Amino acid sequence: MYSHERSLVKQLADKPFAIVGVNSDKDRKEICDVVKEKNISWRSFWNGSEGPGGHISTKWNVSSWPTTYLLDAEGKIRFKNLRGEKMDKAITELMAELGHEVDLTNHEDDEEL
Amino acid sequence: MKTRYLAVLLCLAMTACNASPESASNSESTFKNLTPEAQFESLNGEFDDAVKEFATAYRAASESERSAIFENQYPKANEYVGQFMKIAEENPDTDAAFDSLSWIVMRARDEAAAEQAYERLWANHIDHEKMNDICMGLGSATPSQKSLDRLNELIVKNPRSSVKAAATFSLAMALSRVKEMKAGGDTSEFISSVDASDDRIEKLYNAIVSDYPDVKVLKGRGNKRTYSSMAEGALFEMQNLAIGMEAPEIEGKDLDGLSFKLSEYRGKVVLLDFWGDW
Repeated sequence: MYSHERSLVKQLADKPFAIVGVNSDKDRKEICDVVKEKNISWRSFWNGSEGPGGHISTKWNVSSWPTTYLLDAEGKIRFKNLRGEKMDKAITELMAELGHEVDLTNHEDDEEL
Repeated sequence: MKTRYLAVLLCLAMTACNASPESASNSESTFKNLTPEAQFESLNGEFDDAVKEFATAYRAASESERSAIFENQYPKANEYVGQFMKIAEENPDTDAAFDSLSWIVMRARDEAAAEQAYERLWANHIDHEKMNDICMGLGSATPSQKSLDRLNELIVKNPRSSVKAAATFSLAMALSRVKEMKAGGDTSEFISSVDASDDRIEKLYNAIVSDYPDVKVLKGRGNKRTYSSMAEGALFEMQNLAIGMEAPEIEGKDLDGLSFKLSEYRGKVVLLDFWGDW
């Protein structure tokens, strides 16, 4: 997942696109190390010291990880729980709505850092 | 020296040969003399021991040996079905019968046997206190007319709130699944015939919140959770997190402790990812 996300961030760097994480690890310091180590450049909310039982994931009724939502530029929920090619296709569709033509069919899958 | 060694071996072998048929018939009659509950425990223990034995061998084996060990040693639950069914048949209306039928439903991969076990459970044990274990399985399996009917019947006929709450939640889950199947283009006769409207599903979740506010989900990871908190979560998701709805605001702190909001990303396509590094 990290590799795919890093690739999206790289390919859409000059486009109106962002990844926003909600991290559900209990130990904030440990996860900060992971963020550095795995080159996770996008911002994440921290779900709190209760981990998966934290306030954000509880409100969003998340019961399995990862859970993903794709929001359009107006902040509307457009897709849920897509992975891989289906996610790329949906992002391409949402970018096209904003007048940006993107091609996400060639991911350079970097080695898992 | 050598002869004596041989003699000892022979003697041992003979004892073993003599002993085995006798001990087998002994253990068979011992099994029959057990109470139905002890019979269940004995058989259940035998299966669990076989699972443990398999797990030990599997862990100790090298990568290349593992598939053969899995093939030969993984205990086949289906081979125990007949014996559990026998306990249930010989001791109807006992806890041992209930436990045996539950075992078949939850452990065996034998549809015909499971169906037979479901029929007996609903005919003879509909008021059993542990029916909640069974109905969660019904709620997460592929929905069928029978599974929906059984959950409805359980809600009406079982007197315990722990079971009623579990059955109501399971029915709501099963109907949500039907709703998804309809949305995914399933036009089969059964799926088309079921009312899986938001209104109906919401009524079930609301009933859990109002009627069973404190009933805990006993098993699994959701140990501390109650059915009503799970129902509230499901209601929030239906009413605020469906496709086409505006995403609720998230206000919080990032991993460095700095505050920010999801709405700051308006104007951009956002991949919102609930993640964890585990």
